Amino acid sequence: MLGYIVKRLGISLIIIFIVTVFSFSIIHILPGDPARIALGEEADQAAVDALRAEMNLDKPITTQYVLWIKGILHGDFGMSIVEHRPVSRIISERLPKTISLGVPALILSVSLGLLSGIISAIKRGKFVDQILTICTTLAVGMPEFWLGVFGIFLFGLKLHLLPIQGYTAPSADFTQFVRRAIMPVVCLAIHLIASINRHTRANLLEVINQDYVRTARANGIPERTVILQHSLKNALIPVITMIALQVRVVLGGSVIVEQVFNITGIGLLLKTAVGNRDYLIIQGCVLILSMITVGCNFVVDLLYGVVDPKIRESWR
Amino acid sequence: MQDKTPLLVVKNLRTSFFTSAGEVKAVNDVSYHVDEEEVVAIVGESGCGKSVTQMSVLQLVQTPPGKILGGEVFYKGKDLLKYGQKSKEIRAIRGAEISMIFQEPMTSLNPVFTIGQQLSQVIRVHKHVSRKEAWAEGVEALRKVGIPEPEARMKNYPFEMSGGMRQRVMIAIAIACNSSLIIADEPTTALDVTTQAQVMELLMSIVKGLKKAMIVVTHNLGLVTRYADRIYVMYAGKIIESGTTEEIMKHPMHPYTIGLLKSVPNLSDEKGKALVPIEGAPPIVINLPDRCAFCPRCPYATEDCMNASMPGLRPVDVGQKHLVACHLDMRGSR
Repeated sequence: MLGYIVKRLGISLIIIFIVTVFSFSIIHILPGDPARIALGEEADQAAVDALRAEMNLDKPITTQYVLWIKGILHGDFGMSIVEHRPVSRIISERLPKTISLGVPALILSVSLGLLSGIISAIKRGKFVDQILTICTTLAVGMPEFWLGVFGIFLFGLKLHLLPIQGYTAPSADFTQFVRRAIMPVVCLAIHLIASINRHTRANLLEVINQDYVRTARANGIPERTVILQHSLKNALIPVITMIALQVRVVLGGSVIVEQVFNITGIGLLLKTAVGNRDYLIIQGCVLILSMITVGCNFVVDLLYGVVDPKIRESWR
Repeated sequence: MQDKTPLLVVKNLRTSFFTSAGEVKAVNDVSYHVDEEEVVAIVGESGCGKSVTQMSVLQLVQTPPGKILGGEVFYKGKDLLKYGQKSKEIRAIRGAEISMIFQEPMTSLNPVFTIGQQLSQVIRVHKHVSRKEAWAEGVEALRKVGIPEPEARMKNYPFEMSGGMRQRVMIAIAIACNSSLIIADEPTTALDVTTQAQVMELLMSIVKGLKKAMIVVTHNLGLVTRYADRIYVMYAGKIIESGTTEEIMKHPMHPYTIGLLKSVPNLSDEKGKALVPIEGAPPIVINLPDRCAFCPRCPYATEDCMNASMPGLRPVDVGQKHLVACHLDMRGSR
């Protein structure tokens, strides 16, 4: 078990390393000079060259990469060329916003998705299942931006129930945070709820027809236990995989949702930075996002073991 | 023969599956009974409805597409079909009064729970005992079915065991709550031949030792002759012949039973004697015409058979317990 975790952590580090190398190279291969962008079109060549030297842009890419990594190990992500502030500070301002919306969205998705999926499966073909099927199909079909704009129109402008945009930190004013978070969280969660619902339903229906479920029933196990214990634990394995693939989308911040609700989270930061060639911000964001992704996958791998004894066996 | 008390009496049971192709009358007016401490065999080809009959007794048929349309299932005098499919009453019967052992030991145990978890859960559902006591009873049940190191085996997952071992676990679960009737649905079909014999011997010694009754559902006539007291032969959702094992083996009266017996190898037969298969395939039981369902495959069928409606079960001789559903008198044809 411990050996497995150590091995898995090692692989995670390698993956993060590869991701940063790729993103670092791509940014530097693309046309556009960060120093020129920082100083503006009118700045003279000498000043640009001086800045290039200061930013180490005149050195080979490999050296630049090594210098960047060295800085990170000392907690220094470099300076933003546009905002002229430390990247670490900018990210630490933006990341909590994304996370404080992403975590509730994830919790909402998993709980609602599983619950409605189980209900759909138990009531297969009945009225409730048909309603849920229509809802999930609609949810999958609706683009996030449309849902966001529609929400703003209906609940914000027409009904005046919710604020139409912006973000308040939960520590500053919790009620205001909740009011402002409701729509973005729902927008972030809705696709995942629908996907989890569909997967849970399909897998559960398959498992319910398995011989061992019949055995459980034949032995007088109560129906609730048959579904929630004997069937669900088996049905969850593919659902966990599916959730794992989606977690980054929710936790890592959606550019669209942040744009629509004017939330200055990490998704929007990354989008702006790409436009500005603010390469150290891009690097920092990519590093953070890949760490979130790899971290989630790590947790999911451990969850597999909790659910499936055969996987636990292979860890030994 | 002295009359024993009937433990299970099934009367006019009808179970159908409603498919897009039409109604499949899997169990079509089937009646049978099992006495206390009796071993009864239900024999027939795949798809003849023998398993569905047993599933219907405990209302384990998937609904939809299946549905129990009618009949009565008296167990110790109570009609089990009066209880709802998910009712407390039927659950109290399942696993505690009537236990089932299924055909596929490889898939009949839940892959994500240990043997001990599954075994002690069944015990705890039916008996008011603590976790610890249930676990101890589980170990005891495993010991009874001859599993070595039962304490250690309790912590195993099904995938860590062989098919034979898993079937022993299924038997352990079946006897853990002291059921009076064990329904074994092709208990040895999925096992290799040497394991088959072991498992069957084990099952019989437990049934005899604990004075239980058993229904063995099988297509293996060899198995039946060794272990069963009485036999019911099923074809296309109906019982077409019934009687004591001895009677049916010696004087089979239905052409189908005769065919089945001819297709079984016998050690006392002379060397080189060919086995005789039953020609054709069992019918798909959708929209069967009202006549003997075996007619198209029957080597003895006459013009009258084709035109007459479905024969009912009748005693071979007046007052006998040997019943057959055939227009013809096959006495002495074997």
